[in-house]
Amino acid sequence: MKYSKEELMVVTGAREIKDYDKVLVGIGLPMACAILAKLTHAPHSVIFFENGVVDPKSTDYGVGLADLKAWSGASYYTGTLEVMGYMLHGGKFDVGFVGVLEVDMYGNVNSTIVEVNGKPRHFTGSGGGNDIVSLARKIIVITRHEKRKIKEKVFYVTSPGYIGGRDRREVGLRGGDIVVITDMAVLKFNKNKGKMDVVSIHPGIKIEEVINNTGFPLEIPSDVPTTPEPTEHELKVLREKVPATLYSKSL
Amino acid sequence: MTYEVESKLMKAEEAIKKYVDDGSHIAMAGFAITRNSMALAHEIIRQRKRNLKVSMSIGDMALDIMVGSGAVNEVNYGGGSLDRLGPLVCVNKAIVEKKIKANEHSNFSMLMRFLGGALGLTFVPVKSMLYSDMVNDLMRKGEATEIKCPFTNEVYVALKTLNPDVALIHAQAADTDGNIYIYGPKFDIKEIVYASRKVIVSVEEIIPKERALRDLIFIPSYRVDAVVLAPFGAYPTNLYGYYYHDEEHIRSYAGLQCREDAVQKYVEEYITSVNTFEEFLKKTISSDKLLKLITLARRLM
Repeated sequence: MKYSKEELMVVTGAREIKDYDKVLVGIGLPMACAILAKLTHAPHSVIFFENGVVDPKSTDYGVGLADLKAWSGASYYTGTLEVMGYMLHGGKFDVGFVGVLEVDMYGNVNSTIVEVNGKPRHFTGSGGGNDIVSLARKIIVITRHEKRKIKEKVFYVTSPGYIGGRDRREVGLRGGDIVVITDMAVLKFNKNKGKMDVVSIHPGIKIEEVINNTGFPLEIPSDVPTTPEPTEHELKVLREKVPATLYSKSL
Repeated sequence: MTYEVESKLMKAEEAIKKYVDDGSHIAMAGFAITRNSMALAHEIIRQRKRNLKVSMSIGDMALDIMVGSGAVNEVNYGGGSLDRLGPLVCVNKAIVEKKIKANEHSNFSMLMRFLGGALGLTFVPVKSMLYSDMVNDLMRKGEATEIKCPFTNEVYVALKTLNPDVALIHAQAADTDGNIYIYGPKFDIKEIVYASRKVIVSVEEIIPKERALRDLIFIPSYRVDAVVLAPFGAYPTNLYGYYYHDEEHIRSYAGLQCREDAVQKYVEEYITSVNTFEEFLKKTISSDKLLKLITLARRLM
């Protein structure tokens, strides 16, 4: 079965979620990952928004976390303290998704400010992003694979990665592994190399493409694994049950 | 018969005059394009308050237009946007052009500064923001420092707590005793209400107090200083169960990109050339469109 690169990203993200996981998401592609996981291998996983919306079931997610369409069908409404405090700061989130402007070779994330044509331009800032990256047991970063987005050093550290290339827990962070899912590859931190490294390349993508579109030097062996393709079942559920508006233009 | 709520029921104009001064520290609990304290923000702009300091966990349209109008000179916030309808155009511009002092946080860090203030603590420890550029900046400004747990030696960010002068909240309803009801997600409303010295709540409606409702009270009347009856008081942002946001209006606001003349025109057309929020509603939105927004919000409950 043929599939788009967005569909592959959604499926790859969904597979990072296990049954019974508590998942903190933002709108867009992460939401699609969480819904797909729930409808396939993780029926008991629970979706949360940082503003206190729990287990929403809408089929139209509107324009973001503040859109009433995104909250529709929620099984519980609570506040930020319960989701970001008791749950996240209390170490009870298995997976957290974040969107980024940039991510660097140490897994540092920038969602605050970048230079556009030599001038600083301010964007959203942290929101719950820093909290998620600092505190969730596993962090999924979703981004387009471009040199200007996957860099040697981010312009501004909104959320910390592997400080000095060290284990995050050693330096006092509670956040777990950072997994970067792009439209070309999956990257994770490699302790021996002290930087982010490719763990798999998506089907049909050449090693050179990944190297040429990454802003720091990568050494990718010729026998690098290929990201597993979506199954027919995953694609069928994704196309029939997950609104395409969530992920088709998410990047 | 008189109701208890009447003793603190006032017009937005009176509430802002009474509780907000130039230089006041204000807390708000809107979130991007939902539950913005828009009626109260308009009144602040109409009364040309200046040098305000605003603290909020997630920046929203009310904050953005207050910054755009020149009412604000300092912002404590945890980031923000108009969701995908646009960025916080005026806040982002004012930060880059250094027109306001901006202290950037994470969402939870802001919440903890309010919670600590509510509890009467002078600082709170958090695991958020460690090793970020936000904390470096806050440390330089004396708003944060790194500390170690006296028992385990674990490292934390210590944050100064917040006690704003006045909280501006928009709620669905007050009852006739003056208790406040919040339907849908609660954001950081409780922490803000208990951290702030005075509390102004604008509400969509006033409902009869019934015994059966006491389990649903979110803010008890004794914590509220002013109740302002402001139907559609979050418009053009949305309010759970009451009305959907006006996408067209918010998009066109974001489209101004906070160009100085364009924002001035917006403020004049929609805020300072009218006397009340009701007048703004009348000139801005047709009853047909309003009905559509209401119907959609009901359907999404």
